[in-house]
Amino acid sequence: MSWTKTTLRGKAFLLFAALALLTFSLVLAACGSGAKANGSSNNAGSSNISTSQQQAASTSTPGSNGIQNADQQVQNAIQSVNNAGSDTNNADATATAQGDTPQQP
Amino acid sequence: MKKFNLRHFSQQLATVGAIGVMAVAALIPATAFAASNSGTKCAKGDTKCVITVGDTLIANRQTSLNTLNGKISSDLSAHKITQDQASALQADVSTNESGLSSLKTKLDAETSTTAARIDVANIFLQFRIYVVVLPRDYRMIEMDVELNAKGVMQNVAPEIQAAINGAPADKQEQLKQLFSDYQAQVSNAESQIDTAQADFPGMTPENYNQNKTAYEANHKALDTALKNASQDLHQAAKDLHQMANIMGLPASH
Repeated sequence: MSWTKTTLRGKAFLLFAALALLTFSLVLAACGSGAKANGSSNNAGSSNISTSQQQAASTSTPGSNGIQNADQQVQNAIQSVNNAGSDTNNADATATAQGDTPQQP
Repeated sequence: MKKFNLRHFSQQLATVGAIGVMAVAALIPATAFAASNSGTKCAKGDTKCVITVGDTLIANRQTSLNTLNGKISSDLSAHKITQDQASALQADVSTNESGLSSLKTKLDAETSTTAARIDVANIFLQFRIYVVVLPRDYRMIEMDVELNAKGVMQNVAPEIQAAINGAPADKQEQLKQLFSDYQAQVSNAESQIDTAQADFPGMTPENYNQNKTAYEANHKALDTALKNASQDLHQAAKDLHQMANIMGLPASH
């Protein structure tokens, strides 16, 4: 009788411990998903930035997309002009270094 | 009797050594420079030596022309210049390369030193690769790129005009002023490019040999025109960028 009582107490303790562990795990999992949810919220924040940028673009004056595109094309063309100017300068430097005065061996 | 001071002696030795090292360091580049500029001097009657020197001079020029050819190809691939513009430049490179190649064949077959020396002189006098051809052709690329940039600016003008027409009333005046300056700058660039185009025919080895002063004046005029065109294009681009910033800003409420 006494032996049976002791065994039952032990089993009850084990069950309690298992339940406590399960509860703790659930609490941890809940905290984790909360943190993840916050993380998602941060991402959503980033996406909000881009949305607000889009809103800024949409509140731009009509035709601004066209002019931005034109600006980009012209800036690229100007970059090519700059590069071509540098190439000319380099060619001049080579010409100066090599010289073209007839040299007789 | 003066006592020998070892410490004093070692200081003097160090000073003399330092001066010596500096002198040698100064001499080495000077010697190297002199050697590279004066070139090899061949003994009288040493035809083989003259031919070897001439071949080296030709090879250097061929290498520089190949570099130019590569630049033309890469600019064509990058759509910086058109096929027609590239073809004209490639034809000039090809003419010079084949001319130098023929001269090399002639030089290599010479049996007299006098004839070999005439061929070597012609590497400079007939071709003027470094003083005329390369500076001219790189400037031609520069002008072509400017011409194409001007074309881009003219092509986008209707788009800019349409954007200005649709802009809010409070921004119209500023945009119109900027667009007016944009068009004026593009027009100025066009005039400068026309001037540059007119200067190119004078950039020949013959003109350089016959009248160097006139050649250099023409060269200077070409440079001025290219530089002015570049400045005009930059100013136009700046105007457009400013317009884009104004148009891109959120409308004022």
